Amino acid sequence: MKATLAILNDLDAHGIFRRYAMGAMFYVEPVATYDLDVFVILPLSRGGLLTLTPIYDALRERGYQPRDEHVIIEGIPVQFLPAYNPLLEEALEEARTVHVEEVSTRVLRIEHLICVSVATGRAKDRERTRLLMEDGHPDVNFLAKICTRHHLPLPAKNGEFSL
Amino acid sequence: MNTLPPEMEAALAAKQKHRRELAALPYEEKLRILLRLQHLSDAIRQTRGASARAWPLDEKTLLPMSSAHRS
Repeated sequence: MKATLAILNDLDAHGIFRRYAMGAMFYVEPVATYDLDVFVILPLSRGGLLTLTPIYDALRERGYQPRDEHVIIEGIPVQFLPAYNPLLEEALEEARTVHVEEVSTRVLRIEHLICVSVATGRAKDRERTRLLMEDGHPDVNFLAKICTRHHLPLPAKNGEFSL
Repeated sequence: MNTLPPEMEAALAAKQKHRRELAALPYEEKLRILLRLQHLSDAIRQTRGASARAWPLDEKTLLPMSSAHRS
């Protein structure tokens, strides 16, 4: 993992994206997954569109080829998820710095992760919300403020919510 | 209102306790558990003829095991 994180830090340092952060597994039990979701703030293209092309180009230069929606970086399929709304931008700006195997990286605050799951609203996200609320010990007051600011329902203690 | 028998309540409480203990593990330990989950899942997938998808990371070092670390 630290080799993958080192590449992400390198891309961040070179301005390929501005800030990146990871998510839920920092707060809850390990759940089987086959890719690593990395949220990023992207520079806008000339047409004002969000595009992952600069990331893929930078990774190709470093010897990592995109495959479908992933890039395998040091053994781990990474999927880059651009921040496409104010909630995600806020979440990335306020992400915490942590160390994994002595390598610095960033993780979204659990309260922002909950709100992102609520906003996305798939069955999988509802389950993630439940896990985060029940086992992640969010700051409920802070969570409530984010929900209000972004017009989202505040999940109950058991993670249930209605959109 | 449906109520569960005490034995079931106790079993569910134990599961929740275990989940919270898992949640509190260091991230590196969670990665090791994730690798084991992926290998377990692959063992089942391969009985259906599907290909393995587990990350090729060494469980001890969490580093790539071979040259298969780039796409």
